[in-house]
Amino acid sequence: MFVVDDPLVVDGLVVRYGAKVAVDGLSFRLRPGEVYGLLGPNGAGKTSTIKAILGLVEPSSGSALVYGKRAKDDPVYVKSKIGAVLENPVLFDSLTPNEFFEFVASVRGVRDVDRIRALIEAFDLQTYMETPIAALSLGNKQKVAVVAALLHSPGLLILDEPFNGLDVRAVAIFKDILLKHIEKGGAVLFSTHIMEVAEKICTRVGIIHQGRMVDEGTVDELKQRIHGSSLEEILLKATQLEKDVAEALKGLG
Amino acid sequence: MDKSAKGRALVDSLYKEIVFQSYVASRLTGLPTAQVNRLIRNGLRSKYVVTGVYGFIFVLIMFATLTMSVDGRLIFPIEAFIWVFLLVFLPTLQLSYGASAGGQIREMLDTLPMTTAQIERLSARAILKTIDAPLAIAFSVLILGGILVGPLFTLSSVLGGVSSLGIAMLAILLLMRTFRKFNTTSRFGSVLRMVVVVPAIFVWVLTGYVANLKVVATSPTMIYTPILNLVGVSAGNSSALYLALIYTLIIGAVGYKSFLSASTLLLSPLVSTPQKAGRFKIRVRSQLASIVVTDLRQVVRSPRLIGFFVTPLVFVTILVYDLYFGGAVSRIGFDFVFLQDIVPFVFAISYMPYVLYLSELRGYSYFKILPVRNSMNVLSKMLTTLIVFFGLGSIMAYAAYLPLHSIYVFAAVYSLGLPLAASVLLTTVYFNYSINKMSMGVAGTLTSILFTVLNIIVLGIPVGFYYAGALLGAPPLMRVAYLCVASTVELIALLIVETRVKP
Repeated sequence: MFVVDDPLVVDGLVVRYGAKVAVDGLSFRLRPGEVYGLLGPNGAGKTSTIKAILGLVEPSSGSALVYGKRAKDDPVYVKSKIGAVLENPVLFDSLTPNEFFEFVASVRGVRDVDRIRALIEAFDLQTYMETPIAALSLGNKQKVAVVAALLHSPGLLILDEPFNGLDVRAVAIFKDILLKHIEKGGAVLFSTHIMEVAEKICTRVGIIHQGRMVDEGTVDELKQRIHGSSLEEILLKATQLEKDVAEALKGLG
Repeated sequence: MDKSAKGRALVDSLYKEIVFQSYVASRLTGLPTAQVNRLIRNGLRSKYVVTGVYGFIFVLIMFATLTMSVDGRLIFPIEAFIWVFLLVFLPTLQLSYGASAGGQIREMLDTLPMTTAQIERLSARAILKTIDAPLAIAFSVLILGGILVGPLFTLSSVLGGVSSLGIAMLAILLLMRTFRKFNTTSRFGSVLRMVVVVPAIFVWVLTGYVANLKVVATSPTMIYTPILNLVGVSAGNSSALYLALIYTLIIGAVGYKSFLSASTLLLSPLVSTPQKAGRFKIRVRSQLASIVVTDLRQVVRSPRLIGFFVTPLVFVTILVYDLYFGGAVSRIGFDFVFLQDIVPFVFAISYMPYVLYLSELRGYSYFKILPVRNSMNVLSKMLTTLIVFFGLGSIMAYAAYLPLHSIYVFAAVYSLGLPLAASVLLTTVYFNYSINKMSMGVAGTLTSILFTVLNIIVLGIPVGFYYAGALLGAPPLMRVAYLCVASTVELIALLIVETRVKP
C-alpha cells in the first residue's frame, strides 16, 4: 500500500532528452528500513532516474515523491531530506575538506560539529583536512563525498556507485553506517554495477533496462522467478543480455 | 591514409577536444548527445567570432593611423605589437584553464606511442589552430594595409607582430612553469594567479608610454631598443631596420622553442600537492555567509574564475596609470576617465555571477543537490559581486579623489553598484530561462551575444543618464542621482521579471 510519507515513491516516471527516452514509465516504491537496489546495464536509465528524483532534470511526465513532495514543487524540502553520493561527484576542487564540510554543514544548518568530526575520523580523513580536494586521490575524494552526504543525517540516502575507490576499511565502515541508518528507519536507494555488493546489502532490487522496470523483488524472489543462482545471472537473464554476452565472447575467439 | 594526412587528422582531433574542454570546462558530465554536439559547434564557431572582432580592431587601428600626424603614424607598429600580443596571450591562457582542469587531454597524449618531441609538436599545432584564423586576419590586415599606410609601416608592423608572437609565447611558458611551483590554495599561489595578466597590463601601459614619446627617428632609443626601434623602421632608419630584423629572428626562435615547451604544459593539470598535515577546523556559518565565503574562495583560487578578479585589477592599474602618469584627469577630466576606465571595470565584474552560475550548472555539480532557495542564491551572487566591486572600486575612487579632492568621485564610482546589481538580476533571469529551456546554461553564440548586448544596455542606460545630466549642465552629484534613479527603475523591472522566470 502506498503511504504518502514513504521516503520515495516513483510513479510512471518518464524522462526524455529530446527524442531520446531515457526513462520510460518507471514505477517503484522505497519504504523506511529498506535498501533498494536499482540495477541495470549501462544506459538503462538509472542515472536519469536519480537525476529526476534529485530535481536535476525535470520529468516529462510521472512523478518522483520524496517524503510526499516533488523536487519541482519544493526543492529545498526534498534536497534537505536527501543525502546523495553520485558517481564521479564533482566537488569544489579548489576547497580543502575543512572548507568543503564547513560549507555543506552551513548550508544544511548542521550545528553538531562533533558528528562531523566523528565521521571524518571514521573515514580516516583527518590528515587530509588542509589538502585541496583537487590533490586528493579518487578514494579520498569519494570519502569526502560520503561524509558530506551523511553529516545532516538524512532520511533518504541516494548512492550511485558509492564504494568507488574506497579502501576495505572505508567500505566496512560505510556498510555499518548504512545498516544503522536503516535500523533507525532510514531508506537507501542504491545503484551499482557490482552485483556481489548489491546481493549482500539490498533488501529489494529493481532491474531496469531501456528505461523500463523489467522485474522487481527481493534477491531470493528473483532467484526463484528467473532461475538464476546469482544476481549477475539474474540481471543477464532478465535483460535478455545473456545471448549478447555469449555472441560477443564467441567473436573474441 | 599517408603520414601527413594522419598527422593532420590527429591535430584536428586534438584541436576539437581542446576547444570543447576549454569552452565548457572539463568536468561536464551526463549531457545528452545533442548538447555535446552543440557545445562543440559553439566552441568551434567562437574562433570565428574572435576573428571578426580582431579583424575589426585591426582595421580600426589602420584607419586611426591614417588620421594621425606623421609622427603619430610612426607608433603604428607598436599598436600592432600590442594587439597581436593580447590576441595570443589572453586566449591561450584562457584555453589552458579549461583544457588543463581535468587533465584528460594530457593523460591521453601520454598513452600515445609518440616521443616527447612529437607530442610537443602535436600539442603546439592543435593549440595554434585555436588562434590561426584571428592571427591570419590580423597579419592580412597589416600586410594589405600597406597599400594605405605605405610599405615601411607594413614591414615594421609585421616585424612587430612576429616579435609579439615570440614574446607572448615566452611569457606563457614562464607563467606555466611558475604556476606549477605553487599550490592552488596557498596564499602566494592565489596572489600569483591574480597577477597572471601582468604581462598584458605592461603591454597595454606601453601604448600610453609610446603615445607620450617624443619620436626622434635617429635617437638611440629608436635604433637600438628592441620593439621601440620598430618606430625607427617606420621612419625609414636603415640601422633600426637591420637591428629589428635580427631582434625579430632571435625573439621568434626563442618564442618558437618556448611555444613547443609550453604547449604540453598548457594542457597539463595544475595538480595541487598535499600540504601540511591537516587539523579539524570547521566554523558553521549562516547559509548566506557560507555561500558568499565559498564563492569568494573559488574566485581567488579557481583558474577558471580568477580572471574575473584579475580583469578588474587590470582596470584599476590602468586607471592609476592614466591618472598619475598619463595625466588623464588634468587633460580630459574625470567624466572621461569615468567612461574610459571605471565603466569598463564594472562591465568586467558584471560577468562574475555569470561564471559562478555556469560553474553550478556543470553536470553533477555539487551545489545543485544542496537545499538552497533560488532567492538565497541570487542574494549570495549579488553580495559576492558587490564585495569585489566595492573593494576594488574603492581603490579606483581613492585614486581619482587624490588629484581632484572632490568627494563626489566616491559617489560616482559607488553609484555604479546599482546597475551592477541590476546586471546580476539579468544574469539570474538568463540562467533560469536557460534551465527552463533545458539548455543547462550552455549558450549558443547568438545567445551569448544577445546576453552581452542586454548586459551593455542594463549597465549603459544609467551611465547614459549620468552623461545626459552632464550635457544638461547638472552639478556632479545631480548626475549621480540621475544614474541612481534610472538604475533603481531597472532593478525593480528586473526583480519583477526574475520572480516570473523561476528555474
